[in-house]
Amino acid sequence: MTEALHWLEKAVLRSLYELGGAASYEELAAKAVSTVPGWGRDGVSMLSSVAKACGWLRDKGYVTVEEERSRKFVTLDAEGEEYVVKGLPERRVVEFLQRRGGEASIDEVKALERADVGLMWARRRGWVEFTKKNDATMVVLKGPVPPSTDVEDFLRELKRDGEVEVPDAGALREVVDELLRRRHVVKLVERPVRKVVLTEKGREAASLLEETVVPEVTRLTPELIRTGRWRELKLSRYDVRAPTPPVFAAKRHPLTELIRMVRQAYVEMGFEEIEGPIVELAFWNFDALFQPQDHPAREMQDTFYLLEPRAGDPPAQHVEAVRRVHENGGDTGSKGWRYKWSLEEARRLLLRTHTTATTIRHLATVKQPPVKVFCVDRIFRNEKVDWKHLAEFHQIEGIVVERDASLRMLMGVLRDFYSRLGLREIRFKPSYFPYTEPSMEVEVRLGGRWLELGGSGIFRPETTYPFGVKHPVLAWGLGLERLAMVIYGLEDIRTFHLNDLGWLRNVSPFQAFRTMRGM
Amino acid sequence: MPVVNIDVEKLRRLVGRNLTLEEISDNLAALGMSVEETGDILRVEYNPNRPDFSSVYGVAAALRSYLGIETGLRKRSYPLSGISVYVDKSVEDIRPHIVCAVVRNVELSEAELIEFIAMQEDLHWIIGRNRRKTAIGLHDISAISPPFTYKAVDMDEVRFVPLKDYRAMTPREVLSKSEIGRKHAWLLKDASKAPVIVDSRGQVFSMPPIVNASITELTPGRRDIFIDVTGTDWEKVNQALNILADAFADAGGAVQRVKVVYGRRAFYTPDTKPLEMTLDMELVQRLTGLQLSLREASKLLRRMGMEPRVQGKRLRVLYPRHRADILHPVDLVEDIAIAYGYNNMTPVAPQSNTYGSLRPQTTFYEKVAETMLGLGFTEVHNLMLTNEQTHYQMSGLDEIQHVTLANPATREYTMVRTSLIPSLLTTLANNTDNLYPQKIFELGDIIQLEPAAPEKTVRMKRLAAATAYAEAGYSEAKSVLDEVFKLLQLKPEYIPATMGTFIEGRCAALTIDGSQVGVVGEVSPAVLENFGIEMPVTIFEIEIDKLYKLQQLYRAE
Repeated sequence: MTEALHWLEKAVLRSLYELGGAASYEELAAKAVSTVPGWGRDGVSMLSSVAKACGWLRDKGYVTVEEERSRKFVTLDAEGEEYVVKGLPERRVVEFLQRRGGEASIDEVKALERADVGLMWARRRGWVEFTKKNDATMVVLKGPVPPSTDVEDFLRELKRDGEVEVPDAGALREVVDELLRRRHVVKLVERPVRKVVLTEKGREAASLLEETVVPEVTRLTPELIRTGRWRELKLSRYDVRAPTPPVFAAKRHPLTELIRMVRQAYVEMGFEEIEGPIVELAFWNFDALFQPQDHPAREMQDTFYLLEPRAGDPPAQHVEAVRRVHENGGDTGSKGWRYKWSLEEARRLLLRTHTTATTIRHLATVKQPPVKVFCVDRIFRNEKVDWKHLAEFHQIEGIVVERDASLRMLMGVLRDFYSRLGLREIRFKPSYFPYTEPSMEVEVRLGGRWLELGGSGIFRPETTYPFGVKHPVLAWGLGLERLAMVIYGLEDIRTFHLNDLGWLRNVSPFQAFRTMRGM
Repeated sequence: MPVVNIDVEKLRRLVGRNLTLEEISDNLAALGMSVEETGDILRVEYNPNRPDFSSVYGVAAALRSYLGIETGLRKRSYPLSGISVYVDKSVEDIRPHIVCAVVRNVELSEAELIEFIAMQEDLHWIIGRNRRKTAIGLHDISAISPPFTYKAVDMDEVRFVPLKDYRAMTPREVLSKSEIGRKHAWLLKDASKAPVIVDSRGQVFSMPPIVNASITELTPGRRDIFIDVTGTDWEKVNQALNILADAFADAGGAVQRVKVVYGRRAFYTPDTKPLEMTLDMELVQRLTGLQLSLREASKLLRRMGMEPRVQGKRLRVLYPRHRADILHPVDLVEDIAIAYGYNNMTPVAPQSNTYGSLRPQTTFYEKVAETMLGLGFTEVHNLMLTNEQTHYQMSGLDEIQHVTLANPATREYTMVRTSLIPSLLTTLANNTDNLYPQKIFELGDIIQLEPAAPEKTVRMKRLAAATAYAEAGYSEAKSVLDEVFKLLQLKPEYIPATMGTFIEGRCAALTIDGSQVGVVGEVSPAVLENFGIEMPVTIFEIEIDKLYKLQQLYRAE
């Protein structure tokens, strides 16, 4: 069985077979007109198609292509083109003299375009001669001038055919030689002549082919459809397995994908989304959360304080209550931290170190339960950045205020939250934060290991009482990037903001979903 | 989180049970510690509210009561040493407090000595805030003769050989010449006098909180030790001393009290009298969600090393003095919960019925992002932290007022961005090896200064998109913008504009009702060169929160 051949290959093979097994490209192109009905309306493109098909056939072993000799062709050059339109310069001299009654002064003739060349050739052909008349040199017509010469006929032929092969000898060869002597009239082109010869394999394949070949096209163009010409053609078969250039689906950032899943889980659980400032007052970020002013987390090496603007305005209505709770516990039943609280320190501006600053702000405005709010937003820590630490990342924040809120309920909410993300194994560990008591560390099992995902707890009375909230407040702030790293199988946390398109284009939007549901 | 290294064999011996590594690990986790590395020596992280976990002795004590081996408040009654320390008034303004103890006849191996020094350093950090609030000195008592005096002296008044040195120096010289002195000199940078402890012969053996004298240097062997803890916070110096004294007692030492005399007042330290707090059972039940009886709660508190006494419906809880983290009854509730075991509790669901919702802005921005995806742009995520060089100089933006950071740990982050354009250019610069065309967008925050706001700033949401490939040009960017605005049902005007980022004559400001909402342009080759990008780039940036407000406005009309 012969392998699948392109229709051009079939056409060449069949033509070659009919031409006796050996032919030039030109002969093949001429023959193909009959082999392929309806093809070859433009000879030039046929020749190149034949040459292309011969190349393919040679590679597959159906034909051999031999270079025989080179053939010479002439084509019109710039002045040749001009002569076809305006006539040869000598013809122009003669026609001028004929209009002037057979003679004119040399000066008049010299005014003609290309007069020198014209005069030289007219004299050489014996069409004119020079005479003296009253000291002036005159050009005079002499003898019969033929209406057209071989040279002129040849130029017209050349114009019509584009190129003409140069014969080895004969009259035509003399004409060509004359034109080659006259510069810029014609150009000589040498072209190798190739002979295509059927191999045994080719002969066998060709004998099995139909006598006629239906032309095929690769591209179905609008024009083919409009004119109905597609009916005469065959649409070629493709190698449907061949590799194709890549295209990339535009998509959300992997971190956003996870944030969207988190938001959805929260909304399903009846939580309302809130947002708060990124540039925050130390008051909300620390003081309102009962972090003593000398707490290590407040030091310069952990928190980004602002140089400009340096200080803001804490809410006057809350300042005194917060001061009291720090200094002596106020009316909360606490000992307080027992130091002198400074308003100046609370005025300092910083980049918030946790989204809990946003939830305590919200608590200050909404005092009555039930409250369930959340946010997923940026936080900042003044850290040296490396493969496992960022100075800017995200926190998953939430609070529940309910009459009967308890540690068990906090566990229930967190378990529900993570199970909605597909993470069903969760455990808790005692922890410490200045603003929650009891406090819990949350760990979730993913990819065969326990991941510490963040802190949670019940807000201390020292945190809630100054804002008039007397009910227990369940609160948590969980890491987003740590979870995302495991989901996307990353080793380096910086991947999330380096935005390597190589990664972004390859990561699947189904990845988060699949990993967490264990699919 | 602070870390303590624990010798497993020693821990087993101190606890009195041959616990497996897994049992140790689980029980430590239940107490809030986490084992980071296992082996013969465990590396254990603990919470900073429990400085008593800074030694194997404290951890073992907690485990013994947690496991029910020895519950309740441990009896710590230390006899008097007969040694006194006199506190001179001169320290009042520099470092007013001192408490001391003596440990007799304690056998310290080299490893144990290292353990105690590590513990001392941890306490310096956790309680002492790097020696500022409390600093601890451990001395071989054999070289000094009591009574001692704690006083402040002029910087050149006395001389002694500091630890790890051989030269006798004045306090001024210690701060400038000795290695340890230079390291801690900042602690006395505002002081005109130096606090020292001298013995009855006037010999200086400590210059707190900087360094001890070399004469009292501790070496391995059977020793008598004098401990001084000085500081600025009375409660914290006592906390540190008690934790140390208890650890030495558990290490086999005989701890004795020291009389500290402040003028006419005198104290005996370590003061081991327990502290007490009243706990309401209603609070316990409410916060834990556990219906515990008084008896059950009492039992749990004993397992946390406390002594509850029932008083009607309340508990009067006695707890060790070193538990300075207990400020409020809620702190006792946590101890009850820990003793109960967090993972022994059954989670329950909230009872209240609430309806979830996203912020309307979030929904709006999601629609905008969807539109950008539809237009073939992939979302990128950049940091808000940046520096002036990238943000202004390289990207050609005019410098405007922005948030600057006072103390960045890296020079890469000195300010907060005011535009997303440099972020997108950075992203393209990171991607010159990836296939083009590259079409990216970011929906992100910027910070602008706003003097009227309490935070003096306001965060704004921006949308920016960039297209980079050989054919990228203004008209394509404008087509995209036209489409975005068409879908937003808004009609912007394109006003010719000049910006350093963009090619002159190929940049427009977008306005709606005369107010600017964005910019678009072809990025200037000079800027592209700065970022090493060799493809034409167009960028637009829109103040998307303004468009959100406009939409609200039109809806209202």
